[in-house]
Amino acid sequence: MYRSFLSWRYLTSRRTNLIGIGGIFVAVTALILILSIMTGFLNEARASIRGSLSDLLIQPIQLQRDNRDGRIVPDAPERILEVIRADSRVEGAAAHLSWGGILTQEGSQSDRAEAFMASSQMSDLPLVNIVGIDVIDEMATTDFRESLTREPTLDKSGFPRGKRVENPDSPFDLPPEFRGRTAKKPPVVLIGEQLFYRLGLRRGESVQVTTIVPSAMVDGSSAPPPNMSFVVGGTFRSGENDMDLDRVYVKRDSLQDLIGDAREFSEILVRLEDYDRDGQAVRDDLRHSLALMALVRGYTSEVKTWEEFRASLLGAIHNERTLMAIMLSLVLVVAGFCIFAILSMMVTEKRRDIGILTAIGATPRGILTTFLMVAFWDALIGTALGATAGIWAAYKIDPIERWISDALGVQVFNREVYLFDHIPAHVDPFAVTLIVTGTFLCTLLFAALPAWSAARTDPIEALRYE
Amino acid sequence: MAPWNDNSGAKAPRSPELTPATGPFDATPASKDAQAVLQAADIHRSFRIGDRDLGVLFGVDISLAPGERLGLVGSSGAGKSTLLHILGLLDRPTAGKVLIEGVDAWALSAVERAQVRNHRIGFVFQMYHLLPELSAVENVILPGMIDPAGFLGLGGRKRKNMLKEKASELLNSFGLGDRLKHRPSQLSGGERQRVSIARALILDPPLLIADEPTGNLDSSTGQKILDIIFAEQERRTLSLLLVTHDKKVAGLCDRVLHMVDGAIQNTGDDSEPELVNEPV
Repeated sequence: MYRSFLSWRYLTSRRTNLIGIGGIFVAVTALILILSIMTGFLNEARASIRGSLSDLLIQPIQLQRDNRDGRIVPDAPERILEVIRADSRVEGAAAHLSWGGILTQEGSQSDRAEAFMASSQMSDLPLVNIVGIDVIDEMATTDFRESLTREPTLDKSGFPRGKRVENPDSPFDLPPEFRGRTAKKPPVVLIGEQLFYRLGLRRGESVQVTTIVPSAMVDGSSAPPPNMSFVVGGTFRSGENDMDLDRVYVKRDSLQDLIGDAREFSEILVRLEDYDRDGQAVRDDLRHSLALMALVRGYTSEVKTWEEFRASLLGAIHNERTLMAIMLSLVLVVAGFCIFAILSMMVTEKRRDIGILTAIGATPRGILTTFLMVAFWDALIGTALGATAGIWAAYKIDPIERWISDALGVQVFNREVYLFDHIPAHVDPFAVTLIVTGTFLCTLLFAALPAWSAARTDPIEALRYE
Repeated sequence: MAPWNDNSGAKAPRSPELTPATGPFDATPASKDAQAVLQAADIHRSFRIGDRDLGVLFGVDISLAPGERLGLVGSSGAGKSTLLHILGLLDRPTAGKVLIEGVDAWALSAVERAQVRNHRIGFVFQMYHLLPELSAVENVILPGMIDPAGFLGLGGRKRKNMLKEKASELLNSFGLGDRLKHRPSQLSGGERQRVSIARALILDPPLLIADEPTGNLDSSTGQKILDIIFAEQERRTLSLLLVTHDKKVAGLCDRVLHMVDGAIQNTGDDSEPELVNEPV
């Protein structure tokens, strides 16, 4: 009974204990907040990457001639799509034709784009990833439709960075703002929100897409770089900033018109009914069956899960999270040293009390427990406050970041640099439990030495101590 | 029933709720001398300093009957404090036995010895030795809150309330009714010593060891403290071992032992023969 009573009294009567509690509070808050943010980053990166990639990615190595056994991998996606869709575990599949190019507003920039293709020196022009898609397949396979319907983000002055398409179900329809008078309807391009904002585009205006095609794919090497005029149909927001900054969508046949018929697709995206259950099995089966039917060349790199495809990015975020956890654990160790110092000081100050307690019947174990309980209260209060603050801050990280940015006059989280338009945070109950348990163990471990020293104090010497 | 509960001659009734049901004294006493609350036989104590032993006590024998007041006098360095620590079970003798109510205390485990200190011995120190963070009443109930055999002492609220009630009564009877919640720093020397006496008596121990309880007080306050100690000793039939420098104070005891150079001086010794092991 006296141990908890006395330890609490020692705790409340010594202001230095507040330093220990404060140290634990800061360490636990920081650990929970940072780990929540890193987990949020990881989760959102996974979600956005998966959303745009779907579950499996098939990228046949497309050569004109297979030098190994004389077989030629077909350029058209239909047969591969047929095989994939025959699998009952597949929910949808879509062919992509990806190509690089330069997006410019019509006028002088177009000339510069052509000059760039010739000299490769004019690096201020936006290089874009032109993705040709089949709308219905795409909507059945990826989060394409969702990316068209998300609210545009706002810039600092509250101006929307993007302009959604008029009809998300038919996104390549000409927008109402288009006032062209040509007899033939021009093709429509959908532009990533960040790119749209950066170029200062408007829906309905025309842009030039300029690209280059290897000489092997076209007749005659002296042909000028192909370019084509597109009408901006609107923007999409994938949630992945990099993608929103360098990707444009066009119809696959429009892109074929630009680059010629040499290439019909570059990859096929597959969505499964249950990726977690079937992902690995379907990947292996497709590797095998597509290779047998000579639809791919048989390299494992041709059929990948989305996680394998973006392994380096996911691995980097995961590693960062682990590194952060290790580095922030050092804060906990510092708090532990703080507890050690405070408790050592207290044991020295309380030497006479230890003698008195022994004289009136306390055992060494009782003395040890009393001082350990001081650390226990430190840990309990510090951890409870820290966990509460950490979880609260994780949930309120965006308003907190805005408040700090406003107060300091600097942008703490630059949304244009990172992948996301908000700071993602996900409180993982397991991680919180681990942090709380680790804090208690760490605190008690650091408190053990001074408490043990208190228990070993000679009561006679202690009673003489003034 | 534990031997310490068998106290039919006590004038002040003990609180059975506050005394343990079991303890080392349930064992058959090593000595059949039921009259002696405290017996020390052939106590030696030496300290190792460097490579040689420094002797402090040389074969001390003491016996204290129930209800007896025993004075212990001696000059500084005579070994009084060392003897007191050994009799109070805070220090182990190099040789010899200490029997508390017939039980060899140094043959007990550390926890059992702590129980003896807690329940069977009350200490009053010259420097009061109160815990500065606790109020007067909290200092008094502290021995009652210590249960060496327990772990966390959970579920002790009822016991704590009973202890508080008893402590308040004791402090009231010592004239400290309006000082219950005062910290030691807010009390005078005499008041602190009264709190210290109340703490020593809260669990109704049969043995009270007082180490110069008036040594830090003026004569008037010291006399009041002695009055309290002697009054409680008589009321409770306590065995009292009183260490003092003051011959007048020693003269109030039933017997007085004179320590010289680590030994009890025999009757007939030339120094202070009237105080040595003789009824006053």
